[in-house]
Amino acid sequence: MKDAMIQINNLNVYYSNKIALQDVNISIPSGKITGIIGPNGAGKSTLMKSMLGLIDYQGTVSFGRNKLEQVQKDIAYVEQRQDLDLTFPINVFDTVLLGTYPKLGLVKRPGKKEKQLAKEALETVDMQEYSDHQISELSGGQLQRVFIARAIAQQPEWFFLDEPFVGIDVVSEEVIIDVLKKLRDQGKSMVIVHHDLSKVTKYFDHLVMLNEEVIADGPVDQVFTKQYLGNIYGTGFVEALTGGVISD
Amino acid sequence: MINNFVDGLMNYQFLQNALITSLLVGFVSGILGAFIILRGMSLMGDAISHSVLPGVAVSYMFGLNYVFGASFFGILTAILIGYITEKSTLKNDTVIGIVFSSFFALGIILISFAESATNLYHILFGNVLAVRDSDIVLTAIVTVISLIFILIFFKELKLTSFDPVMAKAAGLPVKFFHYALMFLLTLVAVVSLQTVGTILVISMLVTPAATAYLLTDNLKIMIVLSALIGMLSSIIGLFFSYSYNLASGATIVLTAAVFFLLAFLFAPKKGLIVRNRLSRN
Ligand SMILES: Nc1ncnc2c1ncn2[C@@H]1O[C@H](COP(=O)(O)OP(=O)(O)OP(=O)(O)O)[C@@H](O)[C@H]1O
Ligand SMILES: [Mg+2]
Repeated sequence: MKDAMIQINNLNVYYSNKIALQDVNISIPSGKITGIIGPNGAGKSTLMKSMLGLIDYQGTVSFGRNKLEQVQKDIAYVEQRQDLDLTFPINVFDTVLLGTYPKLGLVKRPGKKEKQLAKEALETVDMQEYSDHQISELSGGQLQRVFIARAIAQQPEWFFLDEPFVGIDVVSEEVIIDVLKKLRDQGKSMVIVHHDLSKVTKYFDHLVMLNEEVIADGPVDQVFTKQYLGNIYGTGFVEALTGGVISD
Repeated sequence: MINNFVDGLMNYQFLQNALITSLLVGFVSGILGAFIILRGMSLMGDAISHSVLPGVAVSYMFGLNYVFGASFFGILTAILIGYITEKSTLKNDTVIGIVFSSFFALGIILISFAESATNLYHILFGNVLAVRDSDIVLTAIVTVISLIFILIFFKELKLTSFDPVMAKAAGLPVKFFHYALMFLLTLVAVVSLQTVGTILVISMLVTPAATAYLLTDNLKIMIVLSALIGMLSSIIGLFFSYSYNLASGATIVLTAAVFFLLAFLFAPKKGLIVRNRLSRN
């Protein structure tokens, strides 16, 4: 699967003349859970959106030998802040079922198999009893779990999750990360933006540390160090931020 | 009075034509309208229905069927609004306001140059009692195209309406569906000219759909209800128009508005009365 990794070369992103990402050259391995960390405004979401072709950028992004267009059906994306109309007439189950649409292709309707996938995904995030509820009736954390379920129902090769655990209680977070790790063990790949530095060594195999440019990238045990963290967040804060779980 | 209307329907071809056309328009604007309001494009619908005016004028000048000119200007409006919004930092509703009022103004001037057959008043307010056979055929074609499009792409329309970002990330042609809907919207605006007139087309697109939205939590049911309410408004509106010699556009639109008001007050879950009772307990 090595040839399936994401290769990013000379990536630059500008927002109306303000630079958001500068000269990013990294590769993201497949079959691993890759974390993207960095302070607010570091460009984490921007990096994700450019990989997904959702914003304009300079440079190249390739998925193994493929261009993005050839693998898009196999990509599930959970946005950081879903700017959605929650009054849309749709219930929880149908929202998760939407995840199965991309692979169905045009015209075909979701059938038994798709409904089963949606049901299982809802059980994974422990939201099955809300199946018939309108999405407007959910709390922020419950809604987030529904979107994660939708990504799981999509059965993608790649998961792109932008701060997926914001607003989710600790127990659900553990359950979901376990599911993601199982999927990883089956060969799926994940890219996850995450804020909680104390979880980095526990969740991630690979890490990209970002602050407008790439500060470090590589296997977690090699790059999650005091020195690099100090480079991004300032040396004084490293101990407090990581809760002590850190190599030198 | 109802007997009188039924008699008229039996005896007068023009009234039969009017009924068929307005039923078709009620149906097609009902099903399209559901997507228009869910995508937050009501204002866009208004813009397009006004912007077809210069197209109608140009068609008359060149002796073409007004469909061609009107469709051209409708699509041009959609593209222009999309382009300016993307290339400026202005909000979408501002851009819509600028573009459609300009086109409408251009239309008024062009209409005054175009001679004879053109009657600005009828274009603006509709004249359903003067519908010709060719208009019925046209309306039927547009209705069938729209219905087929929505049946075939229901799944994609649902996804791109609810979550365009996910749709785009998963590789769906989100822009295609946007412009396809704009195109159908234009066609509906064109065929509605006769029934309700340019100014009131937006009502047929938005009011029945909004009424249906208040009555259900399910997209499919909403679309069906929207079409039914659209058709019902058309029949009742036409009845009042014929019986009291009133402008058909106005009576149809007011009927739709009455349905909306009823739903706004009495809808089982989203109605004002139920909601008030719930918040008091
Ligand atoms: N649509 C936009 N227009 C202009 N500037 C933007 C836009 N989106 C982001 N930016 C800017 O680009 C920079 C990077 O933003 P980005 O959202 O990628 O940061 P982030 O690392 O995801 O931050 P956070 O931790 O707050 O989510 C920020 O300085 C932000 O102000
Ligand atoms: Mg972000």
